[in-house]
Amino acid sequence: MPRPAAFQFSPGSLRCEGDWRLPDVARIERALEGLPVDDTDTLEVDTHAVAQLDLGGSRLLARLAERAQRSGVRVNYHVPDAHRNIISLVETVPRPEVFHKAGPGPLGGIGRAAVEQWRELLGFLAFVGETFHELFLRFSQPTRFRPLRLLAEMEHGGVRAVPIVAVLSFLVGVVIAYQLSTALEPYGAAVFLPELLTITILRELGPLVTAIVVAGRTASAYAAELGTMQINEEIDALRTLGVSPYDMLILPKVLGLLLVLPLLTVLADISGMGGGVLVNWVAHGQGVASFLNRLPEGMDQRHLWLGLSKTPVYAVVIAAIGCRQGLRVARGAGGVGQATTRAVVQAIFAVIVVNAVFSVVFNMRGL
Amino acid sequence: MEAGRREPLIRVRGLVNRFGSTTVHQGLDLDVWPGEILGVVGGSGAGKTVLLRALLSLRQPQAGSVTISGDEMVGVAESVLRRRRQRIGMLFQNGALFGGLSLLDNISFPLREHTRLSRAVIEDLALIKLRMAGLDAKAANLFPNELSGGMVRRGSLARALIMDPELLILDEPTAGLDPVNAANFDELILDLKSLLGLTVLLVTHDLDSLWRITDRVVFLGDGRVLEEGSVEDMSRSEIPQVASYFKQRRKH
Ligand SMILES: Nc1ncnc2c1ncn2[C@@H]1O[C@H](COP(=O)(O)OP(=O)(O)OP(=O)(O)O)[C@@H](O)[C@H]1O
Ligand SMILES: [Mg+2]
Repeated sequence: MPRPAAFQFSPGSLRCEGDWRLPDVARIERALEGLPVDDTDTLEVDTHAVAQLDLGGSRLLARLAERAQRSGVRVNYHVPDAHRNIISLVETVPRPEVFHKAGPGPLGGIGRAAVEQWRELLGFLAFVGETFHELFLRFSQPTRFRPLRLLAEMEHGGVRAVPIVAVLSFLVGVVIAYQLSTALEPYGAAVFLPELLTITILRELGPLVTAIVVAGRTASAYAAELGTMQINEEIDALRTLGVSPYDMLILPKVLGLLLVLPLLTVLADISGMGGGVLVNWVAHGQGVASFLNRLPEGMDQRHLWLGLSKTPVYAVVIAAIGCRQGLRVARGAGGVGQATTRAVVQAIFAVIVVNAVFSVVFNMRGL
Repeated sequence: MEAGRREPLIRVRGLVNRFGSTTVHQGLDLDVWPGEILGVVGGSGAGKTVLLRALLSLRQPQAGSVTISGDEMVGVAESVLRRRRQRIGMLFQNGALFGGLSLLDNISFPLREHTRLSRAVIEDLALIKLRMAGLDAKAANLFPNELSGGMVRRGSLARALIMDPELLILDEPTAGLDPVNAANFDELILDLKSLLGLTVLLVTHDLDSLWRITDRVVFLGDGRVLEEGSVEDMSRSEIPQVASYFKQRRKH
């Protein structure tokens, strides 16, 4: 049975008792720090009554002795042979010359963060450029495409995202339809609901919701997968084996997303409209048939195509951010977790920025 | 062996470990006595790492019991295990240093988690352990990906020792080290053992290491302990598997 660490102190003498072992010895650290050891010329430290002494316990003694010696007190140890080695081990602490590197300070911190963001942007653009460069190189060597990898990526990024995209866009459709119809009803304009829904969902929300869901799901998955491979030196191993990571990993991911994102968006459009139809039916008693009847006028095809025209850009941005963050894990940049988080945050941010740019451009062109 | 040492520090009885249809251990019995350095050898895939993981209850065996200083480790709540594991230092086969922490933070991590010592003392102790593990203080600020393989090994030894455990479990500590470094590492283990009164369980393929530091060796094969004894006994074993293992290794 371990006995608690304890001591008896009278000016000039410290008698230690019990087991001075981790983690229990932490209890008496405070009390030891508070001992007035600087009143006498000598301090006698006796550990004969200590049954078990480990490095933690002896370091506490050593610190006490250091404190006493700083105020000119002589410290005499009275220790059994068994303790001698351990105590001598902890007498000095090897300290590196530079210890905690000084931070940049608040202003410097802002500057660094700004430069860091700027570099991120440049790095991202460079990566997209590199990816397309590699892609165009492949056109002259079509055998280097890997259809199976591409299909696998399409399944992971596309097929498996079907349920969540469908459910979320359906719910968004429901919410939008309710909001629109409460706004329209006072003017007796509820009949225009189908038109408005079409514009909102096909042009804006369908593509955006899909892109955000995919950014959260797939950018993180890419970053985690590539980051883990990078840490295990698997990517270096690929290179060594004469296989380009672009062929094997990056191009299939980018192309796969490029192919599935428009499809997912169409799905989101359909199920979002489904949500709208449901609300229209429940709230206004307008059946599916009458909703569909109104569609040909309201649903200018323009909106569908405008909405879909954004998706390739989203796809490239999401895939490129995910892959780049994964590959960056390399050395020192901080673990896979951080890369994953950064990938998701950047991808969602980029999607929303791209969407805003599209809106402005479309508006200026009068589309 | 003198009286009073008869109670083994680790007692394994009837351990069974299976992965799907592969049986790794089939009723394995093992005793580790306090204060000894026990070598565990066996071919690649013989189940040495799995045994160590079962000892620490990092995996749940299909059957059998493991006690460490009389405390059962199998089928015990994680909260109870946490306390029991504090008395054990484990050096994983690949180091397993936390990538996001500097070496110093890696080493002091268990102290920060399990004790209420002040930062200054924790830092002192971590730096002392770093020196004991044979690393320069300059390495304290480096991150694991900035260390060489041997430094990672030493760093994780320092971390395994930080709570001043009674039992040190080492999974191939000298694999991949140059012979000089490997010999130094062995010396280090011997020193630590005599200084701290450690019991050491050592998995290794390094025959030099076995000769240098172990008191006793067990050979794992066919899911159990095939042979045990001193290294000399092993090389004279009549079990063909054991004899060929030691003969093969002799050549280089
Ligand atoms: N998580 C796991 N799932 C399935 N099988 C496993 C798992 N872990 C280990 N095994 C199997 O258990 C067996 C023993 O593995 P173990 O890692 O203990 O070998 P080892 O003796 O440590 O070998 P080495 O000397 O190469 O490290 C191997 O056949 C391995 O394939
Ligand atoms: Mg192993």
